[in-house]
Amino acid sequence: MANTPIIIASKVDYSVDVAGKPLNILRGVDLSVNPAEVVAIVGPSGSGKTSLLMLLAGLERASAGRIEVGGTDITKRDEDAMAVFRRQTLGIVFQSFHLIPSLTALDNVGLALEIARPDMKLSDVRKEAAAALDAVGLGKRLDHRPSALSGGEQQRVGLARALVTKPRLLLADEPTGNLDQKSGAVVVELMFNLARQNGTAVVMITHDAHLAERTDRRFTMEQGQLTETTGAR
Amino acid sequence: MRALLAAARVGLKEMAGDWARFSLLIICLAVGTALIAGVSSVSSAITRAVDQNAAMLMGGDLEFTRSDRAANASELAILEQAGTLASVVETNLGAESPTGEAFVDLVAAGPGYPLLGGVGTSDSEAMVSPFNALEERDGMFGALVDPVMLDQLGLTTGDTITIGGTEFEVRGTLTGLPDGPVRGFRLGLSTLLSTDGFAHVSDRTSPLPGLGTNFRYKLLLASGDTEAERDRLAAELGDAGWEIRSALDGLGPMLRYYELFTGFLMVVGLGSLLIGGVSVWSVMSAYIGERSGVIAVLRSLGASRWRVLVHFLVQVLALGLIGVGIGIAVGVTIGLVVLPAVGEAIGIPLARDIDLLAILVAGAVGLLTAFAFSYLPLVQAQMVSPANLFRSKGLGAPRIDWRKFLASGELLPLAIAVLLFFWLAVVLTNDLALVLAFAGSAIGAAVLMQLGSRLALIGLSKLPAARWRPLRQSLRAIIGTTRNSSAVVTAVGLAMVILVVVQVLAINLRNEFLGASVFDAPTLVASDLFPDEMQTLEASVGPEHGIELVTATPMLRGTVVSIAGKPIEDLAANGPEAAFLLSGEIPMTYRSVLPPASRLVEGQWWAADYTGPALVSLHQNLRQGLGAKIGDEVSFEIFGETVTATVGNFRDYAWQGGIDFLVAFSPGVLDNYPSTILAAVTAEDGREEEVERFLANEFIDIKFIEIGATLTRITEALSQLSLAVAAVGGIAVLNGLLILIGSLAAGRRQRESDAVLNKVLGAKRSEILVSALIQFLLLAVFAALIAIPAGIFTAWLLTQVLLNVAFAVDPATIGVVVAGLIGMTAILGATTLLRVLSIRPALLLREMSSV
Repeated sequence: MANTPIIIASKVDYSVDVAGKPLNILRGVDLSVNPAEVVAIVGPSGSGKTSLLMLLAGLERASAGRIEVGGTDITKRDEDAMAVFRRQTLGIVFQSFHLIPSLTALDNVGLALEIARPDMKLSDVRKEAAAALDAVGLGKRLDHRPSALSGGEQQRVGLARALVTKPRLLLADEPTGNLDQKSGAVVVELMFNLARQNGTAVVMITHDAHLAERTDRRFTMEQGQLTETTGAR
Repeated sequence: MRALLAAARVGLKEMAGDWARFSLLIICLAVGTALIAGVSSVSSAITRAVDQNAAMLMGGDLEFTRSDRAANASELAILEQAGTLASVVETNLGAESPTGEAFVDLVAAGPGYPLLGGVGTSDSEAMVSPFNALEERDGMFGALVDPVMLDQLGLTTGDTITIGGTEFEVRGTLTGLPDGPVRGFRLGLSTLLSTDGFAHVSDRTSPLPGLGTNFRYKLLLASGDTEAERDRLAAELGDAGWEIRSALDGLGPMLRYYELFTGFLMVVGLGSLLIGGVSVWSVMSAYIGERSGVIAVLRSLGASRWRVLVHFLVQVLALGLIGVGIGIAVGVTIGLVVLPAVGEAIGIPLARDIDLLAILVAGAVGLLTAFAFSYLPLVQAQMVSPANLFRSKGLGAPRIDWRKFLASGELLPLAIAVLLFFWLAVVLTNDLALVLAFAGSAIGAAVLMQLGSRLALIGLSKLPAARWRPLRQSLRAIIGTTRNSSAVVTAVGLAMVILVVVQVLAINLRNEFLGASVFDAPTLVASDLFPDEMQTLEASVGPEHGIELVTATPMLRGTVVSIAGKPIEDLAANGPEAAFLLSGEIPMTYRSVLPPASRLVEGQWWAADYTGPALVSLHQNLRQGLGAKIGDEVSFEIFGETVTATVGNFRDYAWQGGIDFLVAFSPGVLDNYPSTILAAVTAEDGREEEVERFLANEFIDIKFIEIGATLTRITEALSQLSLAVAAVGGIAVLNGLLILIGSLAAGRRQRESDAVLNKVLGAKRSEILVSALIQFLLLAVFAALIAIPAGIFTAWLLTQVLLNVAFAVDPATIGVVVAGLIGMTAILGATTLLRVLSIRPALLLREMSSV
C-alpha cells in the first residue's frame, strides 16, 4: 500500500471552449507520483502546467482519461465530494499567497484545520495552527494580519496553511514566483523539509531550473504534453 | 454542529475588519425597518384612534335608528342583552317665551345617555347624566337650551320655556352634544330634554313639513366584534325599518381621508422595503464579487458549498440583525415619542404606544429583505471556483446559470422567503390587491430595466466611437461592464420608480384633501327663504353687521316617483343618499353652472344657456345607491305635477358644506314653479357669533344654521393631513437617496481598478472624474426614461386599487425629483472614485493584487 502511487493520471485530455471551438490544453498526459515524492513540472507559459495542477486538485474536470489521487478517482465526483476530497487529501500553495486579509496569520492557518476537521475543538485548532506557524518560523507573528507581513512571510503562512492538515499531497503553483531569491529559498527549504517530515508528496510548478533540480523527479510540459526529463540536460 | 459554529465564527471574524463598508447596508435596512415599523405604528394608531374616536363621536359602537316608532319591549330586550344601551329621540319642535318664538332641534335623552363623552353644558350634573339632571322638579321637567336661543327668546337659566306646548325649566345652556358630529345636518337650535320630559310634550307637530322624529338607540357592545354583532342584531331584530350604523359609518367621509393617509403610508412602507432590498442586493452582490477571492480560498481548502453559504449567511444575518435592531429601536421611538406629534399634525389624537405586532412584522420583514435580496449573491458565492486563484483573470461573482438554478432545490429557500415576504406585506397592509399591484409593478419595472438596459447597451456598442474623449471613455466603461451597468440602471431605476410613485400619490392625495376642503365656507345657512326675506338679507351685507357675503340658491321640494321606469316602491336604497332620495319630499334645485365646490364625476354638465329637454344632475353615490345611470329617466312629483328628466351627469360635492343638493335640474324645467331660497351667509373673520345673534334677532322666522366652525375644523384637519403626506413623501425621498448610494456599490471595485490604471497611464484626476460623471449621468438618464413611465403607471394603478382618488400627474414636481436624482446619481457615482484618486497608485496596485 505504501508503494501505491499517490497520483495516477493516465491519458488525460483537457480542452476548453474558446469562441465555440475546442482548444486542446492537455493531450494524453500520463503522470504517476509516489508518496513522499517531490516532483517538479517546468515548461513555458501557456503550456498547460497550471491546468494539470487544477485537474489534480479536482478544480477542473478532465475531458478524457482518468485521474486517481490517494486512491480516489476524481474525474467523476461532484463539487461537494471534491471539496471533501481536497480537505482530506491535499494542500495548495499559490504563487500569490491568497491569504484572507481580514484574518490573522493564526486564523488563516486555523481555517484550514476547521474545514478539514469539523469536530476539532477550537482550542486544539489554535494550538495546532500555532505549531504550524512556529514550524515556518512565524511563532511570534500569530496575530499579524497579512498586510503586516512581508511577501516571504505571507508565503510561509500559506505554506503552514497548506501543511497544517498533514495532507498526503501538496500542490505548489510557482511558490517562489512572487518572492525575492532569499525569501524564496527560505520558503522552498521549509516546504521540502516539512513535506519530508510529514511524508507528503509534492507536485510543484516552477520556472526556476535550480529549484527543479532539487526535486526527486522533473517533468516538462510543452504544448499540452508532459514528458519526464529527470536527469536530462 | 461544531462545524456549523466554526463556519459561523470564521464568517463573522472574516467580516470583522470590514464593518465600515457595511454601514450603508445597515443604514438601508435600519431605515427600511424603521419606516415599516413607523408607518405601521402610525397607521394602526390612526385606525385605533379613529375606531375609538368614532365610538366616542357616535356615542356607542352601534346605533339603531327608526323614524316611525320607538323600539318595542322585545326589541329593547334584544339590544340590552348585547351591551349597554342608551336612547335618544330627535325631532324638531317650536319653542316660545313671552317675548318670542324659535325653531328647536330637540334631543330627548334617555337614562344612560351619553354612553361616552359628556354633554357641553353649564349644568355640571347634566354633563354626565342629563336624564337625571332634567328630571321633574316642582312639577316641571328641565331643559338645556342653546345660548343663542336663550338670547332670541330673552331667557336665562331658571326661566320657563314652552316647547311643544309644554313648559320646561331652563336648567342651563347647551353648547354641544357628544355625538353632535354624527348627527348630520340638523335644522334649528339645539335643546336637550329627558325622554320622560319629552313624554309630557303635548304638541309634537313639526313646524316644517318633511321633518320627522328619529328614535335612536346607542349601544356600547359587550363583545369586541362590532361587525359580527351588527349582523347578528340585525338578524334578530328582523325588521327592515331599522337603520343600523357602526361607529365608523357615523364618522362619514373623514374616515376615508384617514384611510387614504394610512394607505399612502403603506405604499411608502412597501416602497422603502423594496428599494431597501435593492440596496441590500447591490451591496451584497458587490461584496460577494469582491469576496470571490476569499471564497475561492475557502473552496481550495476543501470548504463545501454549504460552508460557503453558512459563512456568508451568518454575515448577512449579523448585518440584518444590526440594521433591523436599529430600525426597531427607531420604530419603538416613533411609537413612544413621535406618535402624539403625528396625531397633532393630522388632527386626530394619537396616544404613545408600542405596537408589538407592527414591530414584529417590521423586524421579520427587515430580516427577510436582508435574506431574500442577498440570496442570489449567496448562490453566486457558492459557485465561485478555486480555480480562479490559479489564474490572473479578475475575480468576481460568477454568473448564475438560471436554467440550472430554477430547476434545482436552491430555488426553494428563495421561493419560501418571497412567499413569506408576500404574506407579511399582506399582514402589514391588510390589502392583497395593493401588495399584488405593488409586486407586479416592481417586478415589471425591474424586468424592463434589465431588458431595456441590455438592449440599450447592445445599441450603444454599435455606435461609432464618440469624438470627445471623456464621452468615449464613459461609453466604453458602460459597454465594457455590461453587468455592472445594468445593475446600476436597475437599482437606480427602481429607486426612481418608487420615488415617482410616492410623489405622484402624494400630489394626488394632497389634491384630494385640499379639494375636499372648503376654504371659503359660509358661516351660516338658512333654507326656505322667500324672495323678500332674501332681499332684506342681502341688504344687511356690509361691515355694519359683519356680513361679508350672502349667496342664494333656488330651492323647492319634490318627491321621486320612479327611476328608469321602476316605481320607488320597487327600489332598494343602498346608502344614506339613496335612502334620503326615496324618503319623501326632498329639497332640490336648478342650476345653470356647476358650483365651484362641486365636482363632475360622470357625464357632461349642460351649457349655461341650455334650453333642451329636461336634464337632471344627481349625487354620484346614487349610481351605486340606486343603480342609476346616465340616460335613465327620473320622474318627480312637484306641486302635484309629474316632471320627468333624463340623468345627464353625476356629481360629487364637499360633503361638509351640505350646501349643494342631491338633485339639480337643468335650467328651464323648474324655473316657473314657486320656489324658496337656500341662503348662505359668510361672516367677517372673528364676527361669526355677532352675525349669528344679529340674524337670530333680525330674522325671527328664519332658522340660520351655523356650519362655518365645523367646516373650518375639518379643513384644518385636511390641510394638516396634506402636510403630513408631503412630510412622509419627503422622508421617502431622503430614503431614496440613501438607497441610491447603496446602488452605486455595483461594480465599484472594477471602476476603482480602472481609475487607478488610468491614473497610472497618466490620466488626470479631473479627466477621470468627468468621465465617471458622464458615465453615471448617462446611466441615470436611461434609468429615468424607463422609471418615469413605470412610476406613473404604478401610481395610477395604486390610485385605482387602493386610494380611489382622481389621478393627475404634476410634471414639474416629477421633473424636479427625477432631475435631482439623476444629478445625485452622477455626482455620487463620480465621488465613489475620489478615494482611489486621492491615494498614490502604488498603494492601490498592491491592495488590488491581494485576495
